[in-house]
Amino acid sequence: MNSWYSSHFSSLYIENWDGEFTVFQPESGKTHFLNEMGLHILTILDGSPLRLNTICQELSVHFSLQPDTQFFGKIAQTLQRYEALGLIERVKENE
Amino acid sequence: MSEKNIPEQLKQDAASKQTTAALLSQPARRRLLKSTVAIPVIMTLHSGAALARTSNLVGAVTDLDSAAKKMNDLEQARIVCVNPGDGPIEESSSTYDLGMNPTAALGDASQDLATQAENCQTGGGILISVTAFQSLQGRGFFSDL
Repeated sequence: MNSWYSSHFSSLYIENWDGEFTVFQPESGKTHFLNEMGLHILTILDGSPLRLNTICQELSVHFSLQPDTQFFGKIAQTLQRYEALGLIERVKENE
Repeated sequence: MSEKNIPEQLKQDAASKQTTAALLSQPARRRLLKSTVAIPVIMTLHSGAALARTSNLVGAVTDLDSAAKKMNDLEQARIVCVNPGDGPIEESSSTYDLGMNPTAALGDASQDLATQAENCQTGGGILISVTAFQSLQGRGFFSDL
């Protein structure tokens, strides 16, 4: 089982544009455009690592959603993408 | 746009419905992302210099014979399922930028290759050629496989 955490959150330059967010990542020189849920994932991972289930639960409560398997898949994909972009890191836990 | 490093404030902003409500009274601005609140959305604008320095471009393959695989100790083939990273370089392109730090996982050896490939692609992964795999390994990636 894996957990993720936002390893360099404090180094990001974030601007709020009426509920949409630009995130400049100095490390890569890239600028990301995120919606509110995209940013919320980063913010909840700034601290202790969280597992996919916990992340989905937090998102569904915060955004008043009924999560289904497709939602879990989308969040898993997003985490993989964030990891590839260097926005978050994976912590492998002993099973 | 002035860039200020204010993550703590943003945390509060993201969590605060009050802030969002206040912003809604501002003049309407073109909304690229807000209409799809039910799923996370991320789009990335690449720095040209950074892209030239870090780009890892590969072509996705669909042919199982040419797709990269690894054998386990029982001589069972496991498909190499690569994280698509920054995604296709253009819409509908089969060329992907794997980003600064390409990652991949191996398929389940108890499944046949077709099922492994299908599960990989269903989960958003891509298959790459043996040549591309070896090239990336030569650059120090996928050492955990």
